[in-house]
Amino acid sequence: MFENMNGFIQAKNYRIANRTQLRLIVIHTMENPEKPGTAHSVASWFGSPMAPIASAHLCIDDKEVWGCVHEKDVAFAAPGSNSDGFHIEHAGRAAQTPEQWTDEYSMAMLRLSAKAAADVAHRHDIPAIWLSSADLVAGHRGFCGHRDISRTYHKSTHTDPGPNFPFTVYLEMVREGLDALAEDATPLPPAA
Amino acid sequence: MMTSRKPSILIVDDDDITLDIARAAFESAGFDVTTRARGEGTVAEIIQARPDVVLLDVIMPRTRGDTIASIVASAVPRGQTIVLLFSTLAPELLEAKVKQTGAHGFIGKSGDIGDAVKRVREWMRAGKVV
Repeated sequence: MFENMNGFIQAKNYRIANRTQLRLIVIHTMENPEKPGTAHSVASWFGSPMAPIASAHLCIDDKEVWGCVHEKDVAFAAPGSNSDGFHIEHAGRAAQTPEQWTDEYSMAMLRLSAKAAADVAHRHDIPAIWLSSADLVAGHRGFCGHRDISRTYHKSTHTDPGPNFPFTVYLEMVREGLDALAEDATPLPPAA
Repeated sequence: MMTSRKPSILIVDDDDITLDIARAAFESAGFDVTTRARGEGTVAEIIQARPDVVLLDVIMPRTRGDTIASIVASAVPRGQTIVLLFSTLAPELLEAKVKQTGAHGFIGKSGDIGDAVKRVREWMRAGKVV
């Protein structure tokens, strides 16, 4: 459970596993509008009897974080990266412009997402870097979008989170989160 | 023995990841795919190769997709090649651009290229290209 998680709705479609090591944090868009309640709505859909053959670990909008698949389990999110990926769905669409990705709603959502991602990255030693196809093939650790997985493994045709996702800004937010976690983990000097 | 020719498609987009995913998706759907990462030289290629379908990203540096569509509309007989704008722009803007340019239509970019493959198939059936 993440510090800022609003709740957990178990997705219908996922694979029970006992993962102790993750390699990738994969960014998705839900292809739903950026509006209040989108994260809960999509998480509920993943958990409903009408659920698609798809899931993610987290669904996030500008105010809420909902868990759908436990970190140790495998989400059906982006073939090629399911077994070693942690998948985060974001409200919005792959077609968003750079301006739409940096509006108030998106920035609030990205801050929530980066905080959760930093938590995962800290525990699994995943660096805050954006991976290319060559990096993915080489087995490097880091962040990428579903579209990078589609391009690399040719197992899906999804292009989210789109060419304008502000990954530089997002990774900077993740680094801030990682720095804060590293500080918390640093032992205090002995009292004089 | 009858042989069926693969439908041909030219995809023009300045986003290389979109191009790669689109190539894989259309190839697996049975298309003969050519891609271009920029608009320059596209008109000449369309006139020479006469693909069944052209998918044109609109917002590209230098030569935009709507500019290409306008030139092609006046240079290539309408029944030979289906020209579709392929963009993240709002549908009402794309509808206006279709009218301005003489393109056959548009396909909005979604998060799944699979949607574009289905829409192209529909256009081809409507246009009786194959």
